[in-house]
Amino acid sequence: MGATGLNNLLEVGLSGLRAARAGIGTAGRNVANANTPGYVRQSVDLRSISGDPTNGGVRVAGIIRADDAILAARERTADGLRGQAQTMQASLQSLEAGLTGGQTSIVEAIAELFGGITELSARPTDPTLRTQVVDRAGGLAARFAQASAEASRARRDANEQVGSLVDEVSRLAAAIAEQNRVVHGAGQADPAIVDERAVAARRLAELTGGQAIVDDQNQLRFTLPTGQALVDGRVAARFFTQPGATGDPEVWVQTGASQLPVTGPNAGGQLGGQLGGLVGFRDGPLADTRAGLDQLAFDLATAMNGVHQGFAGADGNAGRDFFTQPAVVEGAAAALSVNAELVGNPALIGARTQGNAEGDNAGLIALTNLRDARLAAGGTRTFVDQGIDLLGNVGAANARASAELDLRRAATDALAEQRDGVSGVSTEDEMIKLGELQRAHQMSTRFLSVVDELYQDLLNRL
Amino acid sequence: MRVTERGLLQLAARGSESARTRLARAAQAASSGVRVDRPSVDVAAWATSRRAAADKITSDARGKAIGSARDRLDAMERSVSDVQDMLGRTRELGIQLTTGTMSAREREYGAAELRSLRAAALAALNARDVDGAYLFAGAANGAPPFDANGAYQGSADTRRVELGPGLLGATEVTGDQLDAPQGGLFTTIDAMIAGLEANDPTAVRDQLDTVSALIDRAGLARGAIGERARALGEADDARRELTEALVKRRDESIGADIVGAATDLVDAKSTLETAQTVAQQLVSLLRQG
Repeated sequence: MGATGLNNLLEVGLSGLRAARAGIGTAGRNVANANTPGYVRQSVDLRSISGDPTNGGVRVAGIIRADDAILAARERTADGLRGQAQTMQASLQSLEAGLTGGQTSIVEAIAELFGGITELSARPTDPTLRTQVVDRAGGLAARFAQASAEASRARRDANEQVGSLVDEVSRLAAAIAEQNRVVHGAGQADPAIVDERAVAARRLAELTGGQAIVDDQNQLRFTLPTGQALVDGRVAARFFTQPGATGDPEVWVQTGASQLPVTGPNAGGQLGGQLGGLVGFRDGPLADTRAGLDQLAFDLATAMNGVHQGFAGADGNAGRDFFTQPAVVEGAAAALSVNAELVGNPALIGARTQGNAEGDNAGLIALTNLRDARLAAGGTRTFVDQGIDLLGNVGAANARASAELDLRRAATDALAEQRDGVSGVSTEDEMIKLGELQRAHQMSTRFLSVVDELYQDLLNRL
Repeated sequence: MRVTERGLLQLAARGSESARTRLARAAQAASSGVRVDRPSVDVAAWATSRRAAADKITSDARGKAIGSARDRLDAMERSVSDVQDMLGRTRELGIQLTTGTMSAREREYGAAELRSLRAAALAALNARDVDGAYLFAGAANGAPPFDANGAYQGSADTRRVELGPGLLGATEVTGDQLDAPQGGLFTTIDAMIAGLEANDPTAVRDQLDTVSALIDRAGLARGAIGERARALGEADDARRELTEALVKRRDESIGADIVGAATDLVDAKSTLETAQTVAQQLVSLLRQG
């Protein structure tokens, strides 16, 4: 064998060393990143170099990521569903606690007001009982105001979170577009960048409920459930909010000069993910609760005023409202208040038939009759029952959302286990692999020593 | 399926978290005795409890109204009983003072006593309750029912209070119910006083039948008061039973079964201990590897 053949053998040995070192480095990287969120286990892609026995060896063709594209897509879908259930449930839980926590809710306050009127009907001239009625009416108005404030707080919180998440979506989209640019220019995509891009895509899915596809150029395209592309190759759309018809922020997407709504009545579909959950809460159960509170307050005030106006107070005059009559339904809960005349002088409560002397309780009996009359919910329920229904609906929605969240969590946990099995790092496996690679390195080194001896033999003979 | 160390540890962590959540719920139910503290736990039970609570508030208010009405009826009964006794004495005096052996002076003394009885009867029928409302003025109880001449100034309408859902009951008798068809209470006594002062036994004797009728009217009024008080008492008894049932319904719908809650707590504690042991053993095993 000539020098050329020996050089080739050297190259074979060196290729073995390089392959072993690449493998050892990869195993080391895997072990170091065993707990890195989103890290996908890597392995070296080794290919044999073909040729005659004195040529060839092994080459490192690249790094293989142990990823499953279908599993990854299922995870993104599951993340979107879980994100949507999460924000919906958290918002409903907070609203429920605000409306039903504490000793007295609207329901008890309504019952106490009518109870006070019943007590007064047996002693209509008792000043203490008159004051008690006015105080309880004030207490009811305060409960309505508190409930309305809770609903307003929930609305504010939801809108603030929407704003914050929209900003995050824009940042993530821009980051993915940049990562696409880097990956597009490189022959072999850096696995760390691909991992980062996959993590960003999962987070985007969690926020919007959208889905990602990686094409054969290794470019990730992210599409919203409403059909718009948030990221298309190296181009990222911009997510932003602007006030809708209700004054609440609606989400829009801008690509180039084109702007399209993603939430609201003109959106071409329903946004998912955490954003979808927040908007769904705000425009669904929260809007229903706010409207229900206002309608109940309006109906109660209107009914009581209608009766009260027909009866006279201690001054002999009729025609007074019991509550300050709300002008419109919207805002009635927050604005409900007792007629200032009654607050200043509870003796003006319309207890008696006009023209009758003091002691007549016909007005109070008429007011008491409102308690059992079906004057709420379009004439189908009593005020107490409508209050129970209103608060109960929030609880029922929370219960449904909690069950949905448990289901979604179980699904994402199961998928996480599967992904961990496919892409996760087992340090035991890596240690075994390390041992194999160490042995391979030793054998390559030994091979090179043999080739070196052959060289020495040849030189000695020359 | 391939299982990594991280996967095992996450599984153990999820198990511990789930066991802790269950323990917290069991502890809360066992310590507070309340199973349903908000609608989302059990909407139907929560709604039942709120309905029962609202109905109890209504029932308690009715109880107070009925109590006030019964107090007034008790005061009325005392007044009418006194008036009936006074009418009895008036009749006695009328019979005594119309015999032939009575002198003009004795009839004058009799007239003075009758005047005193008249004033006491007027005071009794113009009595007020603890709130200052006149007892026998009907619905117009802000002013005295009888003026100085004994004429009835009150209302013919009476107050009613709520005895039950949609059920109103009368709670008083009016002062004019004490007058007889033959003559009014005070006009009759005034006529007797005038007859005695004029030493005219015939004029006095002419009023005795009316006095007897007035005594009967007082008896009828007492009977009516008794009837109303009985109705109020029955309504209150029914109300109390209803209140007890409402409290029971409220507590049953949201209360925790104490024995069940205690068992749950023991179970949950045991599950948590097991989950923690498993987690510790896993960590130890992985550390050795």
